[in-house]
Amino acid sequence: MRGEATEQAYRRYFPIIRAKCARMLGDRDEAEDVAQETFVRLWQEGLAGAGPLHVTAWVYRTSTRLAIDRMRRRKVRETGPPAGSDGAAPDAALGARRELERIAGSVPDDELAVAILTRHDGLDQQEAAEIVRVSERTVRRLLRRFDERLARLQEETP
Amino acid sequence: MNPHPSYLRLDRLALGAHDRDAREHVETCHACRTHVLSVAPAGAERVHEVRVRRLRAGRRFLAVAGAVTALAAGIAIAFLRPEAYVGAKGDPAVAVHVKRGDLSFLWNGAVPLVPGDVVRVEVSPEGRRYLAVVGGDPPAPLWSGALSGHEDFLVPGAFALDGSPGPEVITIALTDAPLTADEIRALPAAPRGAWVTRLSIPKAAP
Repeated sequence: MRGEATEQAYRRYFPIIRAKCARMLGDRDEAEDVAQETFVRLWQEGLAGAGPLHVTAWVYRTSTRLAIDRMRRRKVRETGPPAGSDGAAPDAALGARRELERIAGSVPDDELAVAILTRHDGLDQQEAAEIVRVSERTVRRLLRRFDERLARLQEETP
Repeated sequence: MNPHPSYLRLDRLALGAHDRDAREHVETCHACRTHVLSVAPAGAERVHEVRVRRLRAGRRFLAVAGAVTALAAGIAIAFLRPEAYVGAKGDPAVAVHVKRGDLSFLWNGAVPLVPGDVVRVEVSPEGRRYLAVVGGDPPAPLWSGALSGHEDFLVPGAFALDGSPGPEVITIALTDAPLTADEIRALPAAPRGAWVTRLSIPKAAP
């Protein structure tokens, strides 16, 4: 019975988790690892039966944190093919992801999280505020700092 | 300004959250529809010749107010719309919403449902003006009437699956003219020009 419930939860949520991780991480294997870890945590938290609004908020929050951890643990390197299902990530999206990977070590977690949510996942400030559980004002402040930091890093890059 | 709903909204839509604006956007935006269909649970979008199960009609066509309310709150966008992948645009489509305890999801056209599941049917008539729904064993009319023609239509009432063996079968006919009582009883045989689909919903042991 437990196996069936797990499978049902996996079928229901894993495609969303995998797609979210693929948008954040340029390496297909890495995206799959983070997606698996996110799903395991979702299951362990007992969230599989919760409503879609609650589960998706949790998935976006947790997978973003895990992806940031993953970016920080590795050195900047050439990434493999885009992790999207058809390998057809638009150039702009791919470029933004590479940029994110490049600067991940120099940006605080909260700034990076709101940048990922708004720039990669297309969330508006209200949605991002819901996910990271801060006010919209704080989201605006974090994004402003992120952009300023990004501009400084680009100036420093030879 | 980004004209598309965020991935968060699309993902919630795929899971059955009610978001009318996002849903309308998805209906007309290929990119967003592709995303929603790609993450919809168990590939529900691929089903057309749906092989599901039989509602042993009459007594099972229950106007379960609580279930209807709960399902209405969980209406999803991911119609079983084969033209999203193959076939001509403009064909009608059918979605089967399932309520199991606190969980609402779209039936994927393959996974067995279980006794106690409450099922509700939604159609996208694509211009057809009349709908007839038949189910049960023996088959009996469950609902028939006129539609607005283009708006998605949630068939009134909910179907609670019981523990009887065999699949639950629901036949859905969309036509340009009203069907007579005899024509409805004769479904899935249908007059020329009718669009008819037969859902056969497998049912797992309780």
